Amino acid sequence: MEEQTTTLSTISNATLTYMLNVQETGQTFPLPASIATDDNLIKRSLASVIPYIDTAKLERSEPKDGVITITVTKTHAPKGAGTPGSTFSPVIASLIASEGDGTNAVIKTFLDVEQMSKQIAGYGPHQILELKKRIEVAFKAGEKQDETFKAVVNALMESSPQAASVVPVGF
Amino acid sequence: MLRLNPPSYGFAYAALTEVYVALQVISVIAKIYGKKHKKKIAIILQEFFKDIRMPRMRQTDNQGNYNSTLIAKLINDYLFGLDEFWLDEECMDFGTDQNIQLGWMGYRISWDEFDEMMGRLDELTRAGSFTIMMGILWGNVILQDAKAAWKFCSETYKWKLPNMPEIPEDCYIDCSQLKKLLKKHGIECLATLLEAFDGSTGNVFYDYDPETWMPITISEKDLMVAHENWLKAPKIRKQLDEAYDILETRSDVFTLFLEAYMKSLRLRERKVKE
Repeated sequence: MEEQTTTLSTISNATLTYMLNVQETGQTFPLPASIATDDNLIKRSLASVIPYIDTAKLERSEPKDGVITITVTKTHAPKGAGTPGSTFSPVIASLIASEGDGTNAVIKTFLDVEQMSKQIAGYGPHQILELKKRIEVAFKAGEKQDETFKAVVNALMESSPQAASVVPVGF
Repeated sequence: MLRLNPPSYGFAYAALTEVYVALQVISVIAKIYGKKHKKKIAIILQEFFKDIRMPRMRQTDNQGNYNSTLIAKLINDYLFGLDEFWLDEECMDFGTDQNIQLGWMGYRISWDEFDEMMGRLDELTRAGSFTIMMGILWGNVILQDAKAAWKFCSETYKWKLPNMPEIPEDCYIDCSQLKKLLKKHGIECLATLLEAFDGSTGNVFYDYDPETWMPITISEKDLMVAHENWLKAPKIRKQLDEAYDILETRSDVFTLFLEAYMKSLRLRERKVKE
């Protein structure tokens, strides 16, 4: 029974002609039936010709005089985050889950000191000692953070470009 | 609103360092004075903390940082004297450079100063000629010139020492012996003057040599030590003033000094490794 359906479908496909219409440029060209029946196949085979096809909308018309027109419409893709399960998701998830706001400890402490600067002039010795310790801790943490940041930037600058194995969603 | 305009890491680091330096200075002042002067200090601090986003020092136009000058003023007013030219120039920036220039006393004799004095032997005071005597005794003048200078000074400034003594080579002065011998004649303050010339009084304000010493960096320990030295400085100053008075007025001071000096010379022992 299954074999019969496949045969019928093949026959049916063979009698149809497929035309691809790129809405943005107005171009129309024929597509082989072996590709045209599957949206994913169309996207893969035309990725180098139509860069945005991965996120484009493909619409099939009803057969008219044995011709099915597939219209390619450009759509705006989501930026950055990608689809759940993509290679970018863990990075994004880690960033969202991170505790700090990314501000260097020195900058953060400076802003805190700036907020309470009017009170500091009247501080007692124990308060001065406390603030001094806090600044010392900030220097240590901030310097470490700054060094790490610089090391990452240097590593990125010195690394040679690598071709991506996938096209990131949205780019 | 300020939080919406976060500074760069470099700026925040420099500004926070300046605050940290200010806190170090305040804590030392608080340790020394307790509640005394708290009001006066608070006024300067209010000025300091009014805007800690003051523009940092710009290397190109040698502009200082206003907040750093306030810290320097606190040190100068409450802890110890700073170099007045440096204070006036206001080119300090404790955000990037925590060095301070001490208000050193300048008794230490440099080679240049000594050479300059040698060039105008006839324009010295009697006390000033004592510097020449020390320079000759320490071997800072070549023998021929030394003999002529000695003769000239002895006659001009009434040393009453026509002949230059012969100083054995490789010897040192036993300062405690020298003080003891000078004390017998009530002129032990000359030993302090000798130490001040040499830069070995034990007090940083007299011993500091701007040509060879590294400048002092602000830290609580160093601020405290410098303050303690500063408190002892007037006592030394009094002895030095007394020494100059004696050199100007007492007729036998040069003969008495030289006698004690020669008796205090000690040969340096050399240990030869076998």
